[in-house]
Amino acid sequence: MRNATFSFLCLLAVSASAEEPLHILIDQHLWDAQSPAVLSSDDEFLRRVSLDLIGIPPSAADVRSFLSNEQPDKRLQIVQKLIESPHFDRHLTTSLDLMLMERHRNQHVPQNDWYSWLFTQVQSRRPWNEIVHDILVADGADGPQRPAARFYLDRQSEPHRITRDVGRIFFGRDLQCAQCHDHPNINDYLQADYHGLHAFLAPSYPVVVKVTQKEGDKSKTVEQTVHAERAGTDLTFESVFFKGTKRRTGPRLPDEVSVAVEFLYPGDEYRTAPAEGVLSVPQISRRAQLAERMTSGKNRMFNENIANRLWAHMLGRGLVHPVDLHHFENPPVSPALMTLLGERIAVMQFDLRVFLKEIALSKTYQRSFDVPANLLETASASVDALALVEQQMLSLEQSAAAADDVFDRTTDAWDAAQEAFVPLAAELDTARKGYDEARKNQATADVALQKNRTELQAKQNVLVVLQQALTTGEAAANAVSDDPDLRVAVDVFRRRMVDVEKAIPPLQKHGNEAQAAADAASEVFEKKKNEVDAVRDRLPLVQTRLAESETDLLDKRRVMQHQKTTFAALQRRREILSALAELPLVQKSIEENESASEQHRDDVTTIEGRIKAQQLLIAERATTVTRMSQPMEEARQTVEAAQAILTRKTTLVQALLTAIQATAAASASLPDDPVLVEVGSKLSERLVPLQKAQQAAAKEVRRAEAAAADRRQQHDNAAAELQRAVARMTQHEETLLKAESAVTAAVHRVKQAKEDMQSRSAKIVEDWSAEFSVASLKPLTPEQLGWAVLKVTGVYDRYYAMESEKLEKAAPLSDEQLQDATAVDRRQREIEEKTWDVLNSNVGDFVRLYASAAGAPQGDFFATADQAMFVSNAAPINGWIVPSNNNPSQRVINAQTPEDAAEELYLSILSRRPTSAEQAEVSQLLAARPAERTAVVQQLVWGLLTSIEFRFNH
Amino acid sequence: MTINYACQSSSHGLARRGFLTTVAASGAGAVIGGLGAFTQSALAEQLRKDQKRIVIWDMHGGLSQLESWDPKPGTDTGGPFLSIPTSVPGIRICELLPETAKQMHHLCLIRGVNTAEDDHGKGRYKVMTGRPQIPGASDPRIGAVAARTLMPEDYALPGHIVISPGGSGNRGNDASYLGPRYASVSLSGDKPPQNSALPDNISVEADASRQEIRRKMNERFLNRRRTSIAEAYGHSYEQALQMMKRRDVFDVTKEPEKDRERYGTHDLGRHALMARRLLEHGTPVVKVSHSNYDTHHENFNFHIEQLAEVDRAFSCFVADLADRGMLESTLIVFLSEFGRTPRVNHRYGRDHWSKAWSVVMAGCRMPRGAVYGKTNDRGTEVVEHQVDHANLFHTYLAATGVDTSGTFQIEGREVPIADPASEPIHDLLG
Repeated sequence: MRNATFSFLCLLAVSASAEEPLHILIDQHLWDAQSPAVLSSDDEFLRRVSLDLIGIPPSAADVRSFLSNEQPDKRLQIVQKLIESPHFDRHLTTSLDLMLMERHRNQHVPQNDWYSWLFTQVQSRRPWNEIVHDILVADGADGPQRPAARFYLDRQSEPHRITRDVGRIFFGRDLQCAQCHDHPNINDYLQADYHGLHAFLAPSYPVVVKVTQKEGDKSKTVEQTVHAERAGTDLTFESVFFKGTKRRTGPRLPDEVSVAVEFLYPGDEYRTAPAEGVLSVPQISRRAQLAERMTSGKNRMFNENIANRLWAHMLGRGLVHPVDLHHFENPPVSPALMTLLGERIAVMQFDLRVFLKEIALSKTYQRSFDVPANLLETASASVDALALVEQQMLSLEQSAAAADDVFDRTTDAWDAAQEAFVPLAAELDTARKGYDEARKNQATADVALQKNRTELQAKQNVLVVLQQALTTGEAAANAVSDDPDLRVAVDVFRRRMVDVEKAIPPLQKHGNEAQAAADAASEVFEKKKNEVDAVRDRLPLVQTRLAESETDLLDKRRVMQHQKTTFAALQRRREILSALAELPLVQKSIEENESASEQHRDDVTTIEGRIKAQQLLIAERATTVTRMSQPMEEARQTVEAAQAILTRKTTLVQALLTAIQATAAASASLPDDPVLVEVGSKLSERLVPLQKAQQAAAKEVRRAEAAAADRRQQHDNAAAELQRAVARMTQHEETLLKAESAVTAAVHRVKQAKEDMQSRSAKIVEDWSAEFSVASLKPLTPEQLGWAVLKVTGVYDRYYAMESEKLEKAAPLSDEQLQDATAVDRRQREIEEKTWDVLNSNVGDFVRLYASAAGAPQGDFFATADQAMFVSNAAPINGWIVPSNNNPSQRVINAQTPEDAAEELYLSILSRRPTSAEQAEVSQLLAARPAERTAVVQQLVWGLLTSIEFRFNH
Repeated sequence: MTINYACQSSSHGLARRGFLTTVAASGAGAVIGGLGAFTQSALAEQLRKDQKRIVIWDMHGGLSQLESWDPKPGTDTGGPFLSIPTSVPGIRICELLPETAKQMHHLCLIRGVNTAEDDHGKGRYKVMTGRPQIPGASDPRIGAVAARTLMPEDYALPGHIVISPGGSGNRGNDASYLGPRYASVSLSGDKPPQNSALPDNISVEADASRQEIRRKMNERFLNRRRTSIAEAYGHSYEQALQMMKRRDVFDVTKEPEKDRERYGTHDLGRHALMARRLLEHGTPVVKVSHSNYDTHHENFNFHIEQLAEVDRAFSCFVADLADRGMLESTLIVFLSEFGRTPRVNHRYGRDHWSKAWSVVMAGCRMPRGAVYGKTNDRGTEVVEHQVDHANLFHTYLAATGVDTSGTFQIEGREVPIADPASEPIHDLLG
């Protein structure tokens, strides 16, 4: 875990160690021994630094040689070597082109012209500030420098668009919202900032001029759009939130005071005045002022912007990210480091090479992409650090709020100064307009007067000549008195003189009038000039007040920005720390739920045991019930049998009694009938035994019934037992269900907690990579991807060799030249350029599919099916991976052992050795289909080329 | 408000309520985020059914409202054509659209459009982005915004398709800050997207085994560290495979001969049929274009020819979507960059006119067989329910269930989905 106080302490430490190499200072800010990620491995580093510095990955041979190099400073060596390679200039040019033009379509300046211009600047090691200066002052009229004007011309010379892009690309600030109002919640950007910047750029406009171009011996005239400039004025603006409240600004850079504008009377403003088809040039060029101020090395925003963009170029994201969203709500990862980088790049005189080299040498840049498997260990240390950060935030919060209040008050003062300034400035505008009109009128009057004088003079000259001719003529006529021709001539002279004399007075009169008009115009002009001067006399007081309030405003804003930036940076730090600090809680929840689920699982087992026993019991009882039912049935049958007997006996008794009664009745009718008497007595005799038998049967029934009741009772008891057992079983089953769902719930909670852990960990790693604590995953740019594919498939090297051979044949280097490093270097650059020219159109396919839209920032990553289909099915890539000559596919095929094949494959495509698992996989695939070795190798090469690992730099 | 319903039956009200609850229950967000989570086909089917779609009929150059949706026969501005009755009593449109008139009970005419911009480029910008063009700024077009709001996260096929002759899969520059994923892909319907078939020398088995190698590589890499961009990259190849499997979707010749005949064999007919095919296969955003209505000369002859094509293709299209129950989930928008002047110029042409023109919608939350807004008798001014480009832009999205007061998160910036100073036409959304 990095020490949480780093950013705070380093604020103090920076200036003290200004003599240290920059890469050491970077690590003082962002490297800590306890950092989660260690230094990257050699192969990881080599691929990364190659892609970042020269835009292409290393070859298998490069990797082998680097891995076997045992010198301790081999990383320094390779960085040095890469920076001096011709590919470095190429890659830097391509990156700067993207940054400056964002793939805008070319309309006025061909992309090739622009690109070569930029390439030349990079090759001749021009400092960044000078390149930008050239771009900002370019008007496109100057042949060799015309391409530099592409920045303006291919943004259609549209001032607002240019202002926005200058803000974004050169200051790292997207001021677009500020075009119409102050930012509602980020008072970092004011509407005055936007319009101050706009005031530098607004006077420029496109104009079509005719240019003579030489083509061999012939020359032809073509029309060309150039970026002309008018004399600049103040800009008046009002917020869409506060309609009617006018504010006014002259040219001003966002963090600087207004540029003092030299006063020029109307008419004195131009070197070349605007007119159709003319490249107008003002006396004072706002664009030149902008270029001067921006690139002087003193503008903090300009310096920090390029430092931040180069940082992003190397590390995948800026210290401030997005790189054009520099404000205090979006602070740099380390505000102190941001300040330092801005200062140092200016000290390095904007030498991009030196700066990039320093970044590459820092351990921060060289961190590993892999993260510790277990974040919990790092988590425990974060608790104290968190407390410290929170404490710092607490103490900073109040002062930040106070700084905000102070700043708000200065904006009030500035508003008040504006209230005084705006009407006066408007008065000056009016006075200037009056002056300009008077000036023009005076000029017109002067011209009229001059014309009259010229005419009068001409007439008078004629008069003199005529007078002379007349005198001479008269003398001649007197001398030759009878010559009629002479007389006629004298008459003509006289008549002409009269004509001319007549013409003179009106001219003189007109002259007087013209004189009067000129005098009057001159008088008006003087008056108007006085009016202008009178307003100008009143201005300084108001202007001074405005300038003072502006200075104050900017000072207070800087303080506020610093406080808020620091606070926001701490806030971000706190988020990561508290996320880390929460990890043990999540872990605890995982463990608790795991043990709970264990507990519930045990319960389930116990209950399941009970259920099993209960099942046995139920079976047993069911048997008993069954067993009991037979005796019960038998007893029931016995009862039935006894009852039958009883019924029979009872019937007999009843019949007998009936017979006796009938006999008695008959005896009553026939008394003393002996037969009847006998019958009666016999019947009566039979009654008693029968009645006894009936009683015995009745007794038997009762006995049987008692026995049956007994059996039934026994049966019912058993059945009741069974029922109880079943009921118990239901209870057990319910308990089991509960226990089981408790298990499920606990398992689910474990799963959730684990997912939570995973997503928290992923977030932490993402945050770490955003603050450069681990290396980030950087998608290759379309150009990097295209060239990388050409490189690893061997296409690039084949063409390079061909171009090299051609040059060698056409202009072989002498032995002497071969010893001369400069000559060798020059030759290599020639080869690189020729190879680039040949292969660049192939890269165009990648740009078409992988690049963001024209005119949009180019850093966004997206992955679409059409890209994947291009790589899967289009001809180029499938062709490049066909084995031929000595390309990687062929080398893999030729490998003697599967191990060698795997190594060649991985070194060539991914610039690293395979792991043992990967080696085994290759062996297995090759062994499975020995007859299709070529096809399998192509599949392997393709599989690696399309892998995530290849698509990204890491 | 004046909305003439085709029939006064109360079932309309019920159907609407039912529909609204569906929207409330699923919500755009749930649809987008949840699709991957459901494996049961019935649920997925339901979601697909709820998945809203937009199809835009774009009449390039400025269609004359007077020769189409808002005729003014018998006035000095009306031109030579008559108006005809439609399937909705009381609504009449120009006689150049006789077949479309029979489908009027599905349509909703917006007759009070005033976009106050008579320049082609700027007018088009307003209509397509719902915002005025500010120098230095660039906004996504309606198609890209709709794709961003309607396209399921894991949608494999291109989700925003512009049908154009010769389109071969190029991405359009219309998504601005929403990014290329939502930019249009131009396709013709006559040929499948570029590179969507395996080359002859790679067998299906060979492809399967190289894909397997790729997947294993990715798995190992993701086990080192899992990041969304890395996963997205791996996923793009799976999407490509799905797309290759389903490339027939983009082949309009797979539609029955009979339908091709019905829609017309001209470009527009074929494109309309292709649009139907795409929508049926779930493409969230489709655009069909027809050019070029910039009739400064010979406005009337031109509209006779052009609208004959439109009438045939559009009426079939509306009828088919209605028959197939797709109007519930598909919003049809029929627009242009502006209309044409009521005044007829001396070349029998009409010039640019944005002050009072018409846009037509159908489906989703739009009332059926309705007219909203009104121009005066000569068509020179909106006299009732005037709406502008921003209202319409809000309405298109709102009709598909998008909350247009929301914002997009773009690199830490909150960007309103639609102009926050405006709002949808609530009268139409019920």
